[in-house]
Amino acid sequence: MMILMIRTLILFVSLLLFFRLLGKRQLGELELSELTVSMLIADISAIPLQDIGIPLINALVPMVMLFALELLLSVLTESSVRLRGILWGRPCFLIEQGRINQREMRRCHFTPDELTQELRRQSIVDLNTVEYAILETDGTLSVLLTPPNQSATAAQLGVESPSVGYTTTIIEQGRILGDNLRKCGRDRRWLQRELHRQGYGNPKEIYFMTVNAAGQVYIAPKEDT
Amino acid sequence: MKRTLIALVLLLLLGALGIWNLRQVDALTNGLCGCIELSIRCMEEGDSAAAKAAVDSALTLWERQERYTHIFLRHSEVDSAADTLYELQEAVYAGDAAQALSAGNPALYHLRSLQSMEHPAWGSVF
Repeated sequence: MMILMIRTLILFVSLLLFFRLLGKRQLGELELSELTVSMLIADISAIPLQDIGIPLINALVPMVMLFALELLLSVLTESSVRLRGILWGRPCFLIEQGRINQREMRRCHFTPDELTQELRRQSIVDLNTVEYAILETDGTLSVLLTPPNQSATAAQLGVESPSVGYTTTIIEQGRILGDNLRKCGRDRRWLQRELHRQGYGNPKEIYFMTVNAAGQVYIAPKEDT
Repeated sequence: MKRTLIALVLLLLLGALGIWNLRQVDALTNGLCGCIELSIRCMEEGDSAAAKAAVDSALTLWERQERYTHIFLRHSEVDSAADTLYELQEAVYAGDAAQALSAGNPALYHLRSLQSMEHPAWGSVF
């Protein structure tokens, strides 16, 4: 029992470490090799977890090996466009200049239903509004609307839009994030003053607080539970 | 460059670990097989004291490598190999040469199989 628990802990920490080192990718946005490695690593770690007769090293060695190969492959594909094309494929233009490219649709095994479903996910219901739809190598669909259907930018409208900069979290569930406070050029005295100004006496009363580069503050007080 | 270096270092370390493991398993199984063969030979020649000493040294060698065997080898294989060694010891201590031979051969077979399992070959890879 104890052995199983220790083995689970070791494999869990190793898996977390490997996936963390492989990069911050969301599930479903994995490239082919990342998906393969993820599946293999998950599978490899499950076997010695269930059978304590199999040495843990039988899982750890392949995990390290896969991690190293994935690392090497990512370096090689970064430097070679041709290799990248061979391994990951190339983006497919499913809609090109407003027309569905049926050859590409067949090549990517994409049905019109799947295409409209993907477009609906991006709040697009009319195919006439799409100029380009590109199936990326990670499986996501990038869509470019025809010029009349694109959102007008502030520049196009001739409106001035001052930048509010990056928003930094200052307090999270009553805890002051000192590093963030320093990064945005503020100190605890400013924080205390700001809280007093908004009618709060203690950071512990705050659930969430942010400040942007323009100095605009957002405060969500803690609710009574 | 840093990532390439990390990947290469990891692969090199794994390679080195693999080679070390092969040497370790070779040294262990060759040592054990030598002791077992000596023990059987001594039993056949009627020298039971030397046979006992040889089988005891095989078991000492096996027990001394317990940590290595349990980390690197399948536990079921390790247990079977240990069983055959203890059976041989029992036969040698009983002073029965025929029984020692019939217990020694499976022990030798088991250890040789342990060794070949760790060596990369068409059969072991596929």
